[in-house]
Amino acid sequence: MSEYYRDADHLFEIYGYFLDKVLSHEKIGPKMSKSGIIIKFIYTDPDCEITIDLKNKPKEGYYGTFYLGPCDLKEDVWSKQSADHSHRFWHGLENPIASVTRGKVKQGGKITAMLKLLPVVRPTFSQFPIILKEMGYDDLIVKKK
Amino acid sequence: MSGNFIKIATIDLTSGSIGDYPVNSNYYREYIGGSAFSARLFLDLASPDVDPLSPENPMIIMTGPLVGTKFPGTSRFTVCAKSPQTGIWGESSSGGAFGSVLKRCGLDGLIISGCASSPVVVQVIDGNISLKNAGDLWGLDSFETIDRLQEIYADHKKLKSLVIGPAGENRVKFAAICNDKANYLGRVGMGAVMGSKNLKAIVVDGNQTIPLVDEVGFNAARKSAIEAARESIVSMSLNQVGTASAMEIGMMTGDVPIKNWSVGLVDELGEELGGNTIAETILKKRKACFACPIACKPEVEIKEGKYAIGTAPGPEFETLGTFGSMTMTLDLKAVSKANDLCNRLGLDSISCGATIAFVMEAREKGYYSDKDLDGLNLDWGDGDGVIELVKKIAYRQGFGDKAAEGSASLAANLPKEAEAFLVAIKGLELPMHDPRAFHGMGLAYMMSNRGACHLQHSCQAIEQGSVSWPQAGLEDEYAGIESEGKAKMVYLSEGIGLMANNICICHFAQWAIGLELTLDGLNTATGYGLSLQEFIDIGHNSWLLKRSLNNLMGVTSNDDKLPDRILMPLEEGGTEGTVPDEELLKSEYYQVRGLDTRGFPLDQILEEAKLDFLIPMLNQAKEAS
Repeated sequence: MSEYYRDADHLFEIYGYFLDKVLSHEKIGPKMSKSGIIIKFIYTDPDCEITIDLKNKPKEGYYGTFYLGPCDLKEDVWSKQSADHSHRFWHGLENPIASVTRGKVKQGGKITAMLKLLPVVRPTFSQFPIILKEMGYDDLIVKKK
Repeated sequence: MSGNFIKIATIDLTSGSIGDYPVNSNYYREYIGGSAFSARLFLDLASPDVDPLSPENPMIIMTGPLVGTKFPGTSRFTVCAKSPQTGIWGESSSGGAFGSVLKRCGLDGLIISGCASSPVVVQVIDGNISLKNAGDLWGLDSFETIDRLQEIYADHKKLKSLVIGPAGENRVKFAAICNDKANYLGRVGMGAVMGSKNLKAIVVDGNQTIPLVDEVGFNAARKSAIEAARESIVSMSLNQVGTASAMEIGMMTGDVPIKNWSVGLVDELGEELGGNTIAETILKKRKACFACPIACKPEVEIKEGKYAIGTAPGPEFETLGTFGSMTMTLDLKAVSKANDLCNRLGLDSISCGATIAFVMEAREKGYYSDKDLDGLNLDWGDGDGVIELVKKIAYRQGFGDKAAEGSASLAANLPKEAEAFLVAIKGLELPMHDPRAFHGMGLAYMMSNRGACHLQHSCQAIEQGSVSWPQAGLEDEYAGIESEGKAKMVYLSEGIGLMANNICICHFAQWAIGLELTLDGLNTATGYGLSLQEFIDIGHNSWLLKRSLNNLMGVTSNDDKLPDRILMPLEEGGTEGTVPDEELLKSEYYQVRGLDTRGFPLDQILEEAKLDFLIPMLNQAKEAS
């Protein structure tokens, strides 16, 4: 049972809002698009997936495109984790190395290409709680221990 | 008792005499090999107050019981002496193949003392040792020397060599020893010790078989270790682009220092200096040390332009930090050129790059004029200026003569305020892992016996999450930016990491294959029958031995401190607003390690470690201090 998400629609609501902001962000968006890859995030509990396309031309005002739920794009890299783990990751509270070595995150495909994104997404960690607050989900903000 | 030949040769360069050292055979079980064994030998051989660049400072080359056996990651060996850079215990280690071939000469180690009247080469061929005139080798750079030696010894196709370049000849305090072009004994100035002895090179060739107590058991352990190494996530990440694969994650967590440790985030860093960028641009292939399945050594190719180096060993994580992010030279080719110069001239790329970053900040703050710096442009990010200063350091030309003493020496000759941006502990520049991102690493740096070091313990792997060893008493996971409880973690990581150094197994290999398989390899080779706890305890005893030696060399609790710059929080990036709690870390550590308020091991602790022979000497040192 997820600690933070009721179901897949709930997750899509939050991540959709978050990704919309990130992929149109004037500083973060261009850096993400430089990676030129398609990433599929596979979540468990609730089971669902999100694909981020940083390879094909996005719509005006955006630096990438995201798809909530299954899509036909073939990913370059995939990352599988629990929705709760992802939620804490976007708060900057998960150690990315330990996550992989402990098996909390499984990955495949061009992993090194995805590594490139890590320093780039770092500034979004401070944005995620702000976005949750904007959406009225103050109760989902994870406090540092 | 096997895995060793129980034979250590002595070479007195002053008299030219060569012999066997009457080693106490108990040392093999008590100290295993590598740097701990060398520290014990040093106590028998020299006075702690010996001048590091004098003939009386013994240079001890030691292997370990698994070296030469093809057990994964065990190609390493150590070179130890009192350090000319720090004035305390000095040890450096390297992989490659030299250690394995030395061992296959039927020798566990070499003790080199004295000073030759003119430059010499030590030749060890099939166990027969002789001295040769270095002739025209003196003055050549490291690569030229190795190429020339291969011509001279053309009949010995598997000959391996240790050589110094101009930096070692000129006794640059952080001169390295070059080990077959791609491997270096970089830290604490062992190249200067070699140069002070007029010793240009050591060549070895041999093919003896390493004696093993339980050959069947050893082969099974070796097979399991190779399989584990191949399947390990540690190996998978390292064999893409080597240690540079940690750059991107390090930039995210704040592990990578920027602009002499003063900035927390630079957006372009990942794009310009990341492991991926190396893979996509200059990486040619990866190479491996002797019998290592991980293969983390990058070979790069830059054929054209002012930073051309041809095909050569590429920059690793530490060098990308010191010459890249630390000096703000966000140009992979310029960093590769600086790295290549360090390799050829024989300089430690950590101390060299960090010293230049210190100079850049000192210039920015007005402590050095352009005239002081011989007109060099040392603005942040000026790769050309950096490269010129590297050359001047190696040859001790102009300002390079001062910089050749290291950043601590430079700071000592500037107004006291300059200490605010000196980032060294016990005289040794910090490696490129920021303790503000991982507080335990700060403590590990403080307590490392050769000065700030990331390889005197396994703290990096444990705290950053690459390994999980609860069977050794460690937590499953640690939060990087917390100080509480880290003292026990550092203490345990020292016991584990120092045993890796004693066995002479690469830390990466130990992380990849784990503690039990490492222990299986050791036990089947030697017949010691150690439990995991006994294994770690020998590591702890190694720490106590070296600490005591350092106490005899003048180290006290006053030296166990973090640089002021590290205690300054950064405004952005992965470490935003957080610094290690130095006082808490130190006080908890002193308690768990058993140190008194002056930083000396308690008598009871030394007695339990069977190091009680040190107590009278330490009591004398306490009285003197």
